[in-house]
Amino acid sequence: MDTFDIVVILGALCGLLMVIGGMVLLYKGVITLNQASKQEAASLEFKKMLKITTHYPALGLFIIGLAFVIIAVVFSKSTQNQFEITGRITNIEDPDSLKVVITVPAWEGTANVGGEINAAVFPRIDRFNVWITYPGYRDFKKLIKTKESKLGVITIGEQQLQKVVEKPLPDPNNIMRVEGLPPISAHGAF
Amino acid sequence: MKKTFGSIILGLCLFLMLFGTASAQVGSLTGAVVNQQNHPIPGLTVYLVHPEVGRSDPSITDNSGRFYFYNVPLRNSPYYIEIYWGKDLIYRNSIPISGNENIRDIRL
Repeated sequence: MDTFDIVVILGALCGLLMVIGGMVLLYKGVITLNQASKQEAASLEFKKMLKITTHYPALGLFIIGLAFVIIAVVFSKSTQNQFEITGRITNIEDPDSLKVVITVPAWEGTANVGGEINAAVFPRIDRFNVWITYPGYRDFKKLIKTKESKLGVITIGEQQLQKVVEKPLPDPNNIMRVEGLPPISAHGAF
Repeated sequence: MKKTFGSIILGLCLFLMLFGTASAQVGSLTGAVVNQQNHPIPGLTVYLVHPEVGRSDPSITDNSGRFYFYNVPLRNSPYYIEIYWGKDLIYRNSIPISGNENIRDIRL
């Protein structure tokens, strides 16, 4: 949780506090929804574009509180775009053996005089590589630009992979028997 | 009191030195997988496995049948290399890694 998250949560809490607090104050009778006179009407104007006037000043608590909540919700939305990649490989028998690897191009830079590295990296993905592999078949590679997406969907269409070798015949001598190895689900140790 | 404090500092320094040295000791492994006709096999899933270190992230053989592993923690005991055709284990053998290793082709 970074500072931004904390500010967003605090903003939402402030909003909720104002809304609930306003309701409690109304219930207790500390504030009332009595109509104020025209001279006492509360008015909020933003650059002559938006003007809100109410003869019920107590409603201001709700409006300001709701504004806090809405702003918190808007700002907490992820700024990273999400892309969906769709497509189909038409000539494979076992879909579980197909692997789709998506990578972003590596950042490359050089060092300054004296070997000092000072890199400005903008983590904005404008293109990425799609790599599709299947055992015994030539792989499929494509560089995709995110601006080619339509409503967040990028399609690679229907593709056929080219078979290059057959599956080797099983040979028990190729598999050394070892006890105590971590299961295949435990990958990722290095 | 001073002696205890000094012992703690000394122990901490030794720990950091040992840990720092151990974490710096990594190697790499590259190789290729071919069939009996010497044709490279693409799309195979290759793992490095060690009883103590654990299992590596998979490396998938490219069109040349090549696979790559980087930042492999060095150990005195050997690793095991496992090759899968989809979900079928088709090869496992021990392989000592003492640095940056480039092994000869694995023939299946």
